Amino acid sequence: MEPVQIAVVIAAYEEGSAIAAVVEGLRGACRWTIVVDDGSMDATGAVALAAGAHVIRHPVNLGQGAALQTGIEHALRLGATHIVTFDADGQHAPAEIAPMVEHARSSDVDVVLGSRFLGRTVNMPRSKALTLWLAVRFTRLTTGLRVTDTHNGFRVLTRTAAQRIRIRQNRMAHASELLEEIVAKHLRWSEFPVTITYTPYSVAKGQRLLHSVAIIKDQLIGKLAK
Amino acid sequence: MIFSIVLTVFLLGLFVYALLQKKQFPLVGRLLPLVALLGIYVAWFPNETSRWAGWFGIGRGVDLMLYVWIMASGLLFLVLHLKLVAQQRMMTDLVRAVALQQVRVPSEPAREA
Repeated sequence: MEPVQIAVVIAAYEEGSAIAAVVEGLRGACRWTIVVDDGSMDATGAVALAAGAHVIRHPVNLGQGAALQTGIEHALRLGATHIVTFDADGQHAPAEIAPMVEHARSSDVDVVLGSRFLGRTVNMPRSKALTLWLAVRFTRLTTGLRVTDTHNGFRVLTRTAAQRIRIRQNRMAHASELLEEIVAKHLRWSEFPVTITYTPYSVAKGQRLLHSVAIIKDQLIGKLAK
Repeated sequence: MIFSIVLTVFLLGLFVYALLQKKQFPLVGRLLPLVALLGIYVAWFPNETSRWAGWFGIGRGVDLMLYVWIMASGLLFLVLHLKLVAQQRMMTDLVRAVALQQVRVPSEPAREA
């Protein structure tokens, strides 16, 4: 079995106040941390670079999906065997990366999806729980995947999966698109329990119920534009 | 009479424009000339629309034209939106290609996370 080379990809937009702690927290958990500064007006890129990350800057804001695809392409060029997508707001636990990657290897799956409902949540707002409950039902209906969580940014892609999946949805609909890609490309997948810690900062940066409508609209338009 | 002439001139212009677009946008090039010719016919024989409206159970020809206009506008909006999405995808590819040529790496390799 080839040695594991983990790259963590973080899409960051105006995360100057939080990104240093996230990048520093990943030290020792991966070979490379890649921060894609998605056209931030603040010092996100400079702060991430100083903290030890590879920094790629989009000159204009494209959205989280576009930023992740950019980061994944860089990770593939670096030679990563496993690519972890990770949120920039500090709600994911770096200590869970190693067991997730090990799960990918031992289970021989292409994609490992973090599930907060198999794991646990800390301080999750009720409105978020309701939104996710609805989103999970919708995702099951549209993709046929029996997932327990959706729009969880904590995932592991093997190199093979990262090469085959192409995220075309620039904004938040990329999370649904990724599941559709799993189905379309016949990739093996499984879920893994993870911990999501909500802070006032991450809640303020997070998605609202109204965003769900925009995500569904983007999904429909994306299908027509294919 | 005057309005029929104005409408005919406008629709003839639309007809020519549609033919010019045929190479770049085949669907527009095929559909729009038909719409323009139909419009010219209706401009000169407006009572025909009432007869057509009867086929669909709509009382007046003007109502039929309104409904068709609303549907055509919706379709046009969708087509424009899809074109914007296509443009956006090209811009994304361009931005990504530029960004990946300018990756900044930490100065001290030991600092890599």
